Amino acid sequence: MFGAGYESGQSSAGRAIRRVVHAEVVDGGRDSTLTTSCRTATNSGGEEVGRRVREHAAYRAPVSPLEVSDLIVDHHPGSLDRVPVARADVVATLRAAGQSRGARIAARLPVLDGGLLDPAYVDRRLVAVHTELQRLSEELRIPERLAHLLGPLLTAVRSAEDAPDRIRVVDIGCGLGHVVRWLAAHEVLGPDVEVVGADVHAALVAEATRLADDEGLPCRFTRANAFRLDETAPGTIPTPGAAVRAATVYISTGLLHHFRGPDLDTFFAAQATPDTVAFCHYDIAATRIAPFGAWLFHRARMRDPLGRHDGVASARRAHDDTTLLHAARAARPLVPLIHEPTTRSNPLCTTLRPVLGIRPDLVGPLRAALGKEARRLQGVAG
Amino acid sequence: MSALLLVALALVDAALSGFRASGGRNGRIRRRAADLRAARRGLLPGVPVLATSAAVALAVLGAADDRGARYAELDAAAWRMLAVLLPYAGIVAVSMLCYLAGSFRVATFAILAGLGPLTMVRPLLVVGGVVAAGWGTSAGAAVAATAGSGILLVEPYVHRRWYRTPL
Ligand SMILES: C[S@@+](CC[C@H](N)C(=O)[O-])C[C@H]1O[C@@H](n2cnc3c(N)ncnc32)[C@H](O)[C@@H]1O
Repeated sequence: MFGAGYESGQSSAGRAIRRVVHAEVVDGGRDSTLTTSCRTATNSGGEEVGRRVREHAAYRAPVSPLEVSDLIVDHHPGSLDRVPVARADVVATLRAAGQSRGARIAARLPVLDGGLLDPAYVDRRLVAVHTELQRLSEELRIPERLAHLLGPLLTAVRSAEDAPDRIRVVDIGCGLGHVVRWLAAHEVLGPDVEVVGADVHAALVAEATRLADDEGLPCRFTRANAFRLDETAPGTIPTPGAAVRAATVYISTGLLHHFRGPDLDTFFAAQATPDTVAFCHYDIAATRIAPFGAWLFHRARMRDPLGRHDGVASARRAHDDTTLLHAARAARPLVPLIHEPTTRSNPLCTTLRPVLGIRPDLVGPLRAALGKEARRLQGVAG
Repeated sequence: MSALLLVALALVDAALSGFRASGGRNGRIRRRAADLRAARRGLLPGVPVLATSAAVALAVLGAADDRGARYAELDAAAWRMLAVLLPYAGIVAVSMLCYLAGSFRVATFAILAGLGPLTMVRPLLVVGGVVAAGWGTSAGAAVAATAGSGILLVEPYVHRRWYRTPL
């Protein structure tokens, strides 16, 4: 969602802000990236952009589908202010990418004057879609899976000579904060660990906060741009940007496939902060059966056509292990590793697997803390 | 016996339908009470479905000249329906056991290879059960069609009635 991304994340800082949509295309047998300025902060030029996408798409077949939810919400990367989105732009972009089903879903979204998508409706719809998404995450026991790895990871972090008194775990792109709330509710990480959820989308952050407050869970949520973790973002709690910046460990689930090309590198580079000791990002394992599995599972468990569409698209967007390992090198000096690499795990038992990054001096303690599970770790060299 | 088994299956199915109808609507973490409530809500329409099916069965029985023969005809239809539904129910039960008792890897397998696809084929199984039951007997077909269509309506009904929007 959202994360088709800003133009190379931080590289657009200080310039006119443009949201870009990457549609991977096959160009003479080689993958190249068609970068399309979809809309500006004032949303002008949408028509022109739609035309440009159509022209390109006429002779290039898209190979990596777009997610509708990525296109219908837009934010200013610095202020995180909501940027209006024209429905016609979204429909044109999806049509140009050859996604007629997605285009039909977008075409049915209600608009305000001037053809701009109704942001209140979009928020309600995305909260509903994310609530359905949480059901999948529950059934696949994603938080438990993450906690299983985070435990040894935090043991390694605590073993460092300069280990912080309090460890802060920040879930980037937390959506409704299911993982954060689960970790808080089950208190599995220890009393010295604070869990924070961060997402760019205000409506999701508000809903995550409401759900956590409702159950009195010891966690909090804030707004942040995954590409600009070093900036203070205006948000719902005092200096939320600072909370995100001081993360000891960054985590995420289902976020990485939203970022491609330079955005993926920028995402990892943003986590190479002085305070950060490790990261652990779970995303869909790019297996052969993933798109079919996603179709079947979303069909069986989700009702909203938008959620079903995006569920399949996200499986087809999933990055392979090599791409993730290479992109994660941008977070140097953190050492990139994959746990449960796709080639060595049963696709019916492992739907999401993490790319990890950890300070070089903590790789040994991590392996020790993992015990036999360390067999499932793979580095860049294999 | 066949009728008792079908009633038991229908009640379990109705409770699970209620649970599924509530799925993806409540984002809270601790939900045991809410899940049980959803299952009870599934039983609410499930019981009238059974009562209606029983009424149809009694009606076709009452209308028969030879009630003993009609009873045997309905019993045979019920067993044919069970022959389709019981293996399915068995696989669902094993998948649920693996899901609930296994590690997260086993649970993932149970969902992807078991419960997910099984939910998808459930309507087909119910239709298959109705066709098997009604094979060559209009009395059996009438009862089975009433029960089958009713049981398929439980989930959409509960969903519309209580779980239209996120809670
Ligand atoms: C597929 S959802 C995953 C949500 C949640 N982690 C889960 O597993 O259910 C991706 C989330 O990433 C958020 N997101 C996308 N781009 C982002 C960015 N640049 N900064 C922060 N959050 C972002 C979206 O708002 C959305 O909530």
